[in-house]
Amino acid sequence: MTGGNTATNGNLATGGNPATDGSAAAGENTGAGEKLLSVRQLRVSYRGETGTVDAVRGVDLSLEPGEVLGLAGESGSGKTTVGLSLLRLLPRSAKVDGEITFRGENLRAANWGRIRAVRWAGASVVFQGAMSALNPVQTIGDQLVEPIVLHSPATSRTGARSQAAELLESVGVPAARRAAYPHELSGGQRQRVMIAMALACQPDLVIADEPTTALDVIVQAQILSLLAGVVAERRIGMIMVSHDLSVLGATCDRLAVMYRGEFVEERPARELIAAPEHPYTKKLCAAFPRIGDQASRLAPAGRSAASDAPEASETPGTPETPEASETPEALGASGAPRVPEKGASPLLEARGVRVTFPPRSGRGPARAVDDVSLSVAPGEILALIGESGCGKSTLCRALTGLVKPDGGEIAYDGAPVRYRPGALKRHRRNVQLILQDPAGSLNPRQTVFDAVAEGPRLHGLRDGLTRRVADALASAGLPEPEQYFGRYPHELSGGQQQRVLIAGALALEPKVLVADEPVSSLDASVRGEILHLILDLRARLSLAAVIVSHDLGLAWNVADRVAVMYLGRVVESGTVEDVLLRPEHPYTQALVSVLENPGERVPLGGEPPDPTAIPGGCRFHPRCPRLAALAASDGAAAEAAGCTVKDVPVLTPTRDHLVACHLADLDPATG
Amino acid sequence: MTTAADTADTARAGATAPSRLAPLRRFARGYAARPGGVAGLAVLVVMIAAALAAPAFIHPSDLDVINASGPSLAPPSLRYPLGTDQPGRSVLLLTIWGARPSLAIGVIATVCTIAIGAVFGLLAGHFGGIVGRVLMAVTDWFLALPQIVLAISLAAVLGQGDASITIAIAVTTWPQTARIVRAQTLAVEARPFVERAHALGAGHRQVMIRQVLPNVMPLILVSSTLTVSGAILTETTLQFLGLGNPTDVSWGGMLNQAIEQGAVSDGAWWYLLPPGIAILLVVLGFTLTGRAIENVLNPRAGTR
Ligand SMILES: Nc1ncnc2c1ncn2[C@@H]1O[C@H](COP(=O)(O)OP(=O)(O)O)[C@@H](O)[C@H]1O
Ligand code: SF4
Ligand SMILES: [Mg+2]
Repeated sequence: MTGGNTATNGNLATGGNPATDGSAAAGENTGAGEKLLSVRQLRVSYRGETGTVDAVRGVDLSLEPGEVLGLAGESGSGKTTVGLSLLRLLPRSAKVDGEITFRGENLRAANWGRIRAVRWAGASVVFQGAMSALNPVQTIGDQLVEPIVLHSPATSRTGARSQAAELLESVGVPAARRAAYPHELSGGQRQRVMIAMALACQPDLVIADEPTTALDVIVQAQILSLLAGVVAERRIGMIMVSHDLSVLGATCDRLAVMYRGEFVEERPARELIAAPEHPYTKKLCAAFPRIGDQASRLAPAGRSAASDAPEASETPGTPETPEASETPEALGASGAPRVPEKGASPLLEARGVRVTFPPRSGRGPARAVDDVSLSVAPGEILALIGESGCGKSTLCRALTGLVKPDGGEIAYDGAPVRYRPGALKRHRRNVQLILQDPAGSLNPRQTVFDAVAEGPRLHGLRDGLTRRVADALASAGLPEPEQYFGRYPHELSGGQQQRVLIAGALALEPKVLVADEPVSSLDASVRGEILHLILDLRARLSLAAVIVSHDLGLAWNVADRVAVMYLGRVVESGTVEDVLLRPEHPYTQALVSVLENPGERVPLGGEPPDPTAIPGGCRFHPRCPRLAALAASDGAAAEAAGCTVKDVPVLTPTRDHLVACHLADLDPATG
Repeated sequence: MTTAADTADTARAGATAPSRLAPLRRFARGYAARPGGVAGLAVLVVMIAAALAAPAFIHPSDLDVINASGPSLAPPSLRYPLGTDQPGRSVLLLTIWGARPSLAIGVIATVCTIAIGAVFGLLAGHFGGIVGRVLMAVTDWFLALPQIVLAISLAAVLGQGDASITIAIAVTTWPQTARIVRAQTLAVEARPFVERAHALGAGHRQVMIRQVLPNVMPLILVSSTLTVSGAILTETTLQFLGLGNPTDVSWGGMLNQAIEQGAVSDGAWWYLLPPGIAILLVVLGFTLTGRAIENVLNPRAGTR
């Protein structure tokens, strides 16, 4: 989150006034059937340079102890504003109106000292970006001790330290890690520490703002089950804010869907997700693909959500234009699954590629990509799936020639890429890269025209530059491209930014698009639009694509083939139907099961893998549930399988269903 | 970096050509909302105008020690609003004339400082590894040079005068600019749009000029206004120490002469104060302007 939140966090640390603990109030008001929190006619508006923006327009909500309320909605719908207004964590430009009653006390009328006391003792917040909300120069142990001591000065420092250790254990971080600094922890561990901090003073209410958004699916499932456990065990109330309905559906009792600052639907979570009533909720639900649902195969949802609800995802103050642009015939073409004929010669190939990063700060060299082969044929879409740190982005950079592999080679049209400036430049005309973060990938001081014209200018394509730029923008789904020419990136919505970036790539008329997490930072409805665009480009221009993601649903929506990566290797590959409907590798199975029933159970324990310490044998064995199950039932057979000592075969993905596992039912790949 | 051909092209297509003036207009509006910046700019405009127009109303004979016609060390009067110095010249005219070398040397030294510093900083930030380390080592070596000592040695070699002073200032201040620019370059290079430019086929030069420089430019602008005021202070110091051309009129030189000619013991405050206040005003003017530019370009800096 932003610096603003870090600052308020700083306030929290200094503001805990134990004398005004308010436990008396808690005693009389959290009795049976009593509301923990009730909010009536909450209105919030922000004063800005372009006038006031009504972020929240009359919201009512209530919460009982032990209950989880989910706030769903796209960015800009006002859900975070609701969450933060309860504890007066909003910036000064916000004007809050309405009635907020917490444990029987009117927080709207409370003075600042009272609010501070409530913030620590009564209610706390788990923010999205754990890295920026934690103090980078203090160990996590010390950061936990601080609030405990402030909250109850009677506790000795040693007592507080042992309490901190217990808290860490209770959120699943080994107590031995308490001497670690935030940057030494994984994203999931940091989020766990944030949760421990929120629980440090035994609050009655926890507000979790996108607690799992930046996390991988498996870590996300772990954190959600942790939160659900905490709520049940301590009977605290929780408000969970997220844009991801599947996350909320898994953990919340009730769900409120926000659209333009209002609740459009509020019902028990399961009911709402199973049978959404409001059209906006319907669209939001449809945006999250179900694997196996033939209707969404090669047809991502959400395009129409944008046309009905444009401003929900747009920057305020920007004149709006319809984003959807596909012509009916293009749609028809992209809707039909397209299978490149068997044996089509591959266009872009990785052959046994290895990328190793040099050792850093006391750790060994990181084998980020460790013997990966793959290929795409013209007009084919390959999805590369894996959790963060498995080497996907590094492989993308190798495919586009941005890093030189230490082993193996990249080949385009059968010829190995050579790493000389001229040859590389030619390679890059054919193979274009789309990066993960659309906002960061545009130079803030370049207009849209210059951003799209950048590629052609670099390649000396100056004739008819304006036409080329306009055509590329139109191809990327920005009709009437001229009106975008003079705009700057901050004047565009996230979806428009990603379209401009795609246009920038298309302006070079590439044959292959390598896209690194192209939709992971976009809202659900925009996600669908961008995926549609990729399908449309494939249909019209026969553009091939390698799409990298941590999201299996994306593969189901757009890809022909899929390769699943774990710790620098491909562990399973084949057609999307084969791999996603009949996953054979235990890792793929875990990923699929998270998507099918999020939060219901955590399919995998352990931390995401570390490429500086790759285990021997099958590199998945420390976390492998299949091996664990076998060892539990038949130790000898598990021993005989040789998972811990014998390396699994290295796959060379084709259309066949290949699995790198000693215990897979399929014939393991040979050679 | 739009070429004329591109622009013509844009016009032909009937497109709403991106208005290059819009950001400037936005900047002007933001600047106008800052009273400190407006006041600073006003001071600078008045001073620069007076310095430029000075030859129109000041005759060389007015500044001539030998032909001076006024009374010696006379207090302010109608004829001499700021009094006279010992040879009998008008302190007002001397002060106005004195702005010329100060501003000229300050601006020229700053231009040199910024040019050298930006090139070094950009190169050192863009090329990590050996090249970057060598460039930074050179920078640090220059950073350690003592300004006054260098200026005195230069005066000995090149002779007293404006050139020695300008060189001494430029040579000793560019490393600070280089360090600032390098830090900013490193920050900009870590952003994804630089990787995008590489992926589009850009080489080192293109990345530095088209991606990094525009994002470092605001910082250079701010830093240059602060460099100018520092340079003017240094210039007056060096003039005061007598490293300038003794026959030229400058603020530092005026202060030097005021003290040598016993202005302090005679209570001739009108001889000491005007150059001192002039120095203060011009430094303040540049500093206020720099702060205002910084705050407009980076709104967050102002609220902290
Ligand atoms: N420039 C680098 N220097 C050192 N290690 C790196 C660098 N880039 C990536 N890594 C490491 O390589 C591994 C794979 O990273 P990456 O390819 O970004 O994975 P993914 O995209 O799947 O998240 C990670 O452990 C990461 O820390
Ligand atoms: S080879 Fe063994 S450890 Fe590896 S995935 Fe298969 S069962 Fe698990
Ligand atoms: Mg990545």
